[in-house]
Amino acid sequence: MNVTEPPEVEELPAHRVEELSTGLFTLAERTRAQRTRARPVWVPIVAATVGVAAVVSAGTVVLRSAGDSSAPVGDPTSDAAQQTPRIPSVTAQYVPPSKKPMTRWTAPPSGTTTLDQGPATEADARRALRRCFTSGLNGLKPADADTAIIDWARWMVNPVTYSPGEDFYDTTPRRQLVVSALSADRRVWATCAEDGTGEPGEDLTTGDLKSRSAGNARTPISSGSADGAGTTKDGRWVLSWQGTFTAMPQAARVEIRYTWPQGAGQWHVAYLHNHIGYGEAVAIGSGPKPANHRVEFRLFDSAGRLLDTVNG
Amino acid sequence: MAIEVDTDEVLWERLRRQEPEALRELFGRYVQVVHAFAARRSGSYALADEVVQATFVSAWFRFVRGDPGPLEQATARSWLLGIASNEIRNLSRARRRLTRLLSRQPVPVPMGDHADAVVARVDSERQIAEVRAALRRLPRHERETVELVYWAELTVAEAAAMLGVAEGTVKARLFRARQRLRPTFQSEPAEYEEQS
Repeated sequence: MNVTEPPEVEELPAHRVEELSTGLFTLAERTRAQRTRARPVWVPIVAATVGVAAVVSAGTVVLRSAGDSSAPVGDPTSDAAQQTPRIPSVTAQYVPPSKKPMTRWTAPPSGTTTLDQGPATEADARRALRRCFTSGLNGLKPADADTAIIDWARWMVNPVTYSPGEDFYDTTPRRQLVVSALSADRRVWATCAEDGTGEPGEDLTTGDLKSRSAGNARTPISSGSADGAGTTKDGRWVLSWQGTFTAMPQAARVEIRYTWPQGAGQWHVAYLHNHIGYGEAVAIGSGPKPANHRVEFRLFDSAGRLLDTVNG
Repeated sequence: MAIEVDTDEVLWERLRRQEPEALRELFGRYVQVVHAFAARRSGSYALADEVVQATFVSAWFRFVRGDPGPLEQATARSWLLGIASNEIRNLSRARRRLTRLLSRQPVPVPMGDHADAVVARVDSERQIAEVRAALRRLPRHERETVELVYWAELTVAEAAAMLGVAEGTVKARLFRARQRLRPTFQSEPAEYEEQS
């Protein structure tokens, strides 16, 4: 045996090379596009002692104290620039220049409900992540929450909430914090949810970059979703789905609903940003509970044209 | 008609401008190099597959996060293998985590009967393991040097840059490695000739 001769190795199969190449290219396209849309403008260290909100040509930069984490995160529509000026420090948070909403809809079409209740603060987002990461999902630890890269963090309305131990669905809407984040090494992404009352976090979906970019296949990721059926306290039946999905890049709006052979529930507008979304679908009714129900997604482009309808 | 292909230096400059197509070209050029390097070093094709992915993702983000400056070597090979080395270390350490992660992935699409390919890979992994067992007689720094120069075919200069040592140190390590491994050789190895 001559160890100076490299051992023979099998080549990576052509189909795998193609698969990896496509995934990599998609990732590169998307991350470059993000930079184009929201190129950070870093403010040099300033010795000023008063707070200022600096407006630069490319956008608005809000100077923040190092410990301040009350500004909304991952929200291009946030108006953080108009917040009360803060004590400046060496850190700066970029706020993208666009104040336009993510989609051009100002109000959902009739028959739909919007779950999104606006951006959460960074402090809340990291708290939710810390609670999620205690379950050890993909090896993430609570401390990883402090360095995770947050895509977005939003408050969503839970149309119904299952009450464990009492075995019924509560139809009083509740707020829930949903966070989409990447680990600092960009190897693991997670979508976590936390009950607005501070209940422990829930790992909705986790995966690696491969699964994160799977939206090109337009197939919703349902591994982390919860699909439940039960009754309310007053005896009505409830179908409830909540989960994270990825959508094809050209999709600007996603709506979700329940369908069954005899009918369908109303459409719910999901939250979608950087083609990663979170949505819920709920249907409540009286009489016999529908059999063979399923979740249906429909995707629209930025001009409002229907791109596709997908059964989850 | 000859097809003009960008040199690594040109490709590197395009990467500095964050051209995704340049990343695709870099991938096409070095995917098998990185894969072979990872398979030989780890002795596992499964891990090598992950390393390939992680290496090129990491490479891309080095350009996205900041400008790494001009290409320091004639090719990007040693730079990529440096990243791959780190990824192998990280992924090996996180093997348990990976196992959990993979268990969460969707069931792969059936690719037909590939039993022969699996057997071939298992055989290959066994052979790599045998060679690596012999290499384990070397101190780690010599082992790494042998892997980079003899197995990954880096030049002495590239290996020196990657390891952060002088070229003379690389040559000395290779010499000592050959001395230590002499009883292992069935035949006397040829003297190392520096690649240009």
